[in-house]
Amino acid sequence: MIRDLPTDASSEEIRRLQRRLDRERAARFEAEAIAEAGTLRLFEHQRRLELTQAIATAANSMEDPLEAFRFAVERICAHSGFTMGHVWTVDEASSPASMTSSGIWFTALPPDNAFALQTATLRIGHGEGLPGRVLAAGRAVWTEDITQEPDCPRVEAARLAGIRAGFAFPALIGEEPVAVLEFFQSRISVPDDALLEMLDRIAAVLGRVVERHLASLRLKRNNELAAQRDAAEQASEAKSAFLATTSHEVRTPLNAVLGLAQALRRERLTPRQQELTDGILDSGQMLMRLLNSVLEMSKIEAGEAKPVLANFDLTNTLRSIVSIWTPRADELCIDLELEMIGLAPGLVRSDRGRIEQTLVNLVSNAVKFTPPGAAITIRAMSTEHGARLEVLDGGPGVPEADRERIFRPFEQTQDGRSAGGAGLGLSICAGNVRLLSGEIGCDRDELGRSRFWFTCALSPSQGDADDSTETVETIKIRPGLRILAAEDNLANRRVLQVLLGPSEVDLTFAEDGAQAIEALRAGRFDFILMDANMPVMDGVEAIRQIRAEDLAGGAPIHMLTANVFDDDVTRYLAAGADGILTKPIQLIELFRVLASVPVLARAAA
Amino acid sequence: MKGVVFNLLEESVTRSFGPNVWDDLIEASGVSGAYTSLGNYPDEEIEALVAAASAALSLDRNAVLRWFGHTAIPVLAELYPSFFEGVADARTFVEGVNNIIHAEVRKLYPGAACPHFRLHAAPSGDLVMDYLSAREMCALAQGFVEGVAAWYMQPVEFRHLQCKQHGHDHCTFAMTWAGEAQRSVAA
Repeated sequence: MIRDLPTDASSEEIRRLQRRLDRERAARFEAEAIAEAGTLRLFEHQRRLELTQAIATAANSMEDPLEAFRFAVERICAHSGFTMGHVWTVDEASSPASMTSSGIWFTALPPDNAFALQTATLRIGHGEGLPGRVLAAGRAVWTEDITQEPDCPRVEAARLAGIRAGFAFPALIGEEPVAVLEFFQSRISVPDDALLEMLDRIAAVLGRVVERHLASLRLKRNNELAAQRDAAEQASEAKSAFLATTSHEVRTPLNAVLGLAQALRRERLTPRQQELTDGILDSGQMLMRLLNSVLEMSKIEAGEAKPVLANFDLTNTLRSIVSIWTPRADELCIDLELEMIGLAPGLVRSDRGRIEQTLVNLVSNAVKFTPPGAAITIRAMSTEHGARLEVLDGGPGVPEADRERIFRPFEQTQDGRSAGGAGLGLSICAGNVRLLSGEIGCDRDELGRSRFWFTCALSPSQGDADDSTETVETIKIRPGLRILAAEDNLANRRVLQVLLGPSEVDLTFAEDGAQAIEALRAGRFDFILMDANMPVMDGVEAIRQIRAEDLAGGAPIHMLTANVFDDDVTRYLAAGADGILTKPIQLIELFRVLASVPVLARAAA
Repeated sequence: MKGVVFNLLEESVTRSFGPNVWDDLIEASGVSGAYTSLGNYPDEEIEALVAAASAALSLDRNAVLRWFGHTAIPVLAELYPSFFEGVADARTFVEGVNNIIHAEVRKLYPGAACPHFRLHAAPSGDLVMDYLSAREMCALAQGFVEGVAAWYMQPVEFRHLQCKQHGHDHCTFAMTWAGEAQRSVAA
């Protein structure tokens, strides 16, 4: 290389420079190697970051965890160069946790390869082979050669399928593995710590998909339950509405039967005919009571029943119930007594009708179950907020196991069935007592007698008694009062005619709303009775037109109908009704209203 | 030891004594002599180079390290001007050794095993520094501090309060900058 023969000094200088150059070159190569290794590390880091991000993005957008696992398996195989990936899922119900194959595979091998076939049959617990160790540790694990693992159940299958190195990591919810993803390749390889570290970070990301999935399943289940509940409530409402409608439909003709039977009873009859008529009346009334009970129960169940508060004397009420029941008790040779403890006479305020109905129900039951010669005691005592009423009978009592059940609708004991009840009496009592802010129950008294009891709240009375001593006979209706009654049902028209006949009123009938309007156009009336459900034009529509055209000429219009739920009443009043009379016709009520009708000018306006 | 320290040593020796002296030191110490700032090299190599310099200059190890530290600062300022930018005086520079200088070094050379200095202000106002390192190169630290003082032209009095070489478990220095007013230090 050196052409001219150098001097000693210059050749020494050249050697020195040569060494210096060698050092510089060595330093440069080293620096390049270090820089390249650094770049490579950076590149690998970047790839892991991209993979982590891709899996995280997919996991956030995927709803099905299996879909997210499949995506992760494919991407991790592509990233690591491992040729086979598979997912185990932890069986939620297992304790201690164990896993079975999810069926998710990523492999170029045929699906019926020995390794996959065996995997499908396995249930892996803590510490069993590679996936079992991940399940136990809750973090990524590497194996250099699966065929050398003493605890691996798939050694033989792995040999057959040519599988050697593997790694696996969990999907974690908190610290708990919910799945394990495993990867294999066909040659032995040393652990890649950076990869394992990255997989441990992905573990929680995949776990969140499972967590989200479980949360949405829970939500769905809750929604389904809510829908079922709504459907059940709708069905119950439909049932109540059906009961109310049916009861009404049955009540209209029954009303007529009773009214006509009452009218027949006033005719001159032979004793035999009278007896038969009484039979019709008794049975008809019994049917009416049953119908009312069903309607009442459906109202209570629909939450439509409301207490009707009035001022009354509870001691009087109790005495009259006893006096009503005494003849029946005497007939059966039963002794009926009333004991009042600390109950002062005087006015109180509560729902008298419900207290009466409840007590009468209990007394009627007591009469049914008490054998001749025994006694029934009605005991009333005052309590801090009201009263406690007890009915002690001489019957066998209710077995302890049945004591709650009997207050539910249509639940009866064997004895109750034999005695011929409908199974509604006590549940209506329970509903009544609930409205009265009281409690109801049955047990035995200190002497071992069967005892039904209930409590009710009583407030101090406000003002005068709402009791009335009026009777139909004492109410004076002006003779010749001109009444227009719109009623489509012939039997009901007949009933009205029969009941009002003795009062010498001037009764005109219309068979529907349109006829009523015609009648009003043609003449003057002092009072108008309007049925609700009629053909051609119903009562509400008729009232609306009468009001719109001012056809009533000052005559009050009262609905006469069995449909008296709150929203019905609101509808009637909105249309322009002055009042509402209920069917079956309460004679006193009807007479009272008719007696209060103002005298109108006789001449046409 | 980081390659950058070898580079600094080479540059310091070359600037002070010429490239031939560096060649001689390499030959005398039997090291490869090929150093890149990206690399890491055994501590024995810097010790061998220091020992060779010590023999050549008839100075003890501490004196060579102190000279090296002192001489390296202007070279450092040339190679890494950012270390000095915005640092107003010598004391501030020394106070920032952990948080500024070594933080920068770690950015450039991940994994660098920098020594840690515990700093606090003595009641007298002196800056007191505990030097915690396995390498026993307290003299190099002293040289660097003195080099910084010279760079800022703010002479420093550097005292070794205790020394690992004298049986203590670590070295402690106290530093007073000449003409410095009493000031409080956030160490």
